[in-house]
Amino acid sequence: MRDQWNSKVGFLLAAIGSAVGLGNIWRFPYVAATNGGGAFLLPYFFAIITAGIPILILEYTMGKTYRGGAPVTWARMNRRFEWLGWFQAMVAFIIGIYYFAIIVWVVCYIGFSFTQAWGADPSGFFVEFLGLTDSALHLGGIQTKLIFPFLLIWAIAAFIMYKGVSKGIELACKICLPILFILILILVIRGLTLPGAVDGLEYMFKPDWRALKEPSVWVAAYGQIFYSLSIAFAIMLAYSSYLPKKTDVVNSAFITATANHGFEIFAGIGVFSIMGYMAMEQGVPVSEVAGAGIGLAFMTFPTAISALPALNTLFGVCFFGALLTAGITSLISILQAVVSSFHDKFEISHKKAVTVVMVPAFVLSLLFITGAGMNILDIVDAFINNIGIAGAGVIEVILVTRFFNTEKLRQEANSYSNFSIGRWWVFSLRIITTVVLGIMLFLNTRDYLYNGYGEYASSDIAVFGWGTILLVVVLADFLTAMKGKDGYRDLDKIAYKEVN
Amino acid sequence: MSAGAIVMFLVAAIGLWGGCGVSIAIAMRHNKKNKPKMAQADGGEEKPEE
Repeated sequence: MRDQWNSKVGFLLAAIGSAVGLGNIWRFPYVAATNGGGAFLLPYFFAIITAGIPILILEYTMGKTYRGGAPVTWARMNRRFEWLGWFQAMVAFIIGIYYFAIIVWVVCYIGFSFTQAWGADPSGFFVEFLGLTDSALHLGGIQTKLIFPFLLIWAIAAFIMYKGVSKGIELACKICLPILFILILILVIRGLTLPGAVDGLEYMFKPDWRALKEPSVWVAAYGQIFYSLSIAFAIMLAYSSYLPKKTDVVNSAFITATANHGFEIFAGIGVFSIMGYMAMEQGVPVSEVAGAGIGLAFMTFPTAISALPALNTLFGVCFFGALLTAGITSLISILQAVVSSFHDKFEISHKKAVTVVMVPAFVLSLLFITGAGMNILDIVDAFINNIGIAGAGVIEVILVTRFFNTEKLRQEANSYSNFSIGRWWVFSLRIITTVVLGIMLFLNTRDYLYNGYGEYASSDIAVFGWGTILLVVVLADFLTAMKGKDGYRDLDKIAYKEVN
Repeated sequence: MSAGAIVMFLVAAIGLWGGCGVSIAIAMRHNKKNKPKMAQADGGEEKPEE
């Protein structure tokens, strides 16, 4: 029998846990601050209503109605759509592989927080800690000090995954999410009580209304919503496929989206109040210390932790502990998206599907604990997000709104929902989401084709950037062509026990 | 902090957490409403469709 969530609350916590990831803590505040500050909230809210919530409703409805991992769900809608499901699942597979590496670094930094081992030069320490090489193609060997935390994270992830959806993922999210909330609450309280915090918040929230005239600000808002909600790469399709038939999906999408974005704002307050303190300590404007991504977490924040007047260790453990809990709930959702794809198409048990996914993922993720790990991760992450996920999103909305009966899906979404969605939903998906995501994909692709990425050599970008996209396409082709179990595409013909 | 920043801060916090609170309240109200109906129909257990 196919596993099922124990309760709707369990599903919501898992969905929110998936959406709330590292990006909420280290990406959103900087994107907001550098795209008009408080004024950014206007396109941000607009994007939540016209893209975030509509796509979430779409994916929840598809998953709950067609009851399978991404490839099987798409195949049941139309057999020619299966390829997209595998493309999305393989994008998730690649993200899962490098997500491990980031969580491994985070675990190490929890330990470093006790002694502030990064000393006076956190940037230099981070480079030395990773044994960073000068090129993504120059691997430099596996960093032996990363092996133990690497195995530890793998063991935890494997344990949760083998336990299954209700006894593993649901339980893990029920434990991790409250912990995450408490850790961020401590960070926010500590941050707000520091001198200079107001300057940081001013930098983040002060509206620059002229920014609204810039198309790039609107694209950034849609990008933030799109990447933050775990949409278009098989996760929400897989998670909602474990919902009982008579479950509301419309309100669930509203709860997931508002909780995720509310958390972003909350984390942003913590991050920027600390940036404000750091700027004041160094006597520079906040814009000079503000940053995003890996640099913010492993270089800027350690500097801030060391500069605190008291409770440095507690603060460090809270910050990296928050990254760890947010990372783990996202990681297991990414892995489940791939596991469900194999389990639902092929004649294999859940445990066997977990092994089929985790073993190659383990081997490939070793690449990210080599000396070139961070360079490879940076390139793969940029290409898989900005081209892989954006491409999957564009194809998803085009297939659904142009080659499928969207009205049927709308009625299905409304059938057990707390409140109904009107035709605005179809309009948002068909016009607004398609156009904005299309522009985003076009701009990203053009940028990478003409300008490359960062300061990496073209050979690095060819191998790990375009090479990754090519690998995903080839794997999707191969897995689509493989023979699945009898009747997997036909929801009406498969046994009752498989779909309920 | 400037007035503009404070207003936008409040808009963000109230808009998102308020929206989340309203959605949860709606879900809880429906849950309460549906419980007696379901109990009447099938003894409280959600039975799978044949």
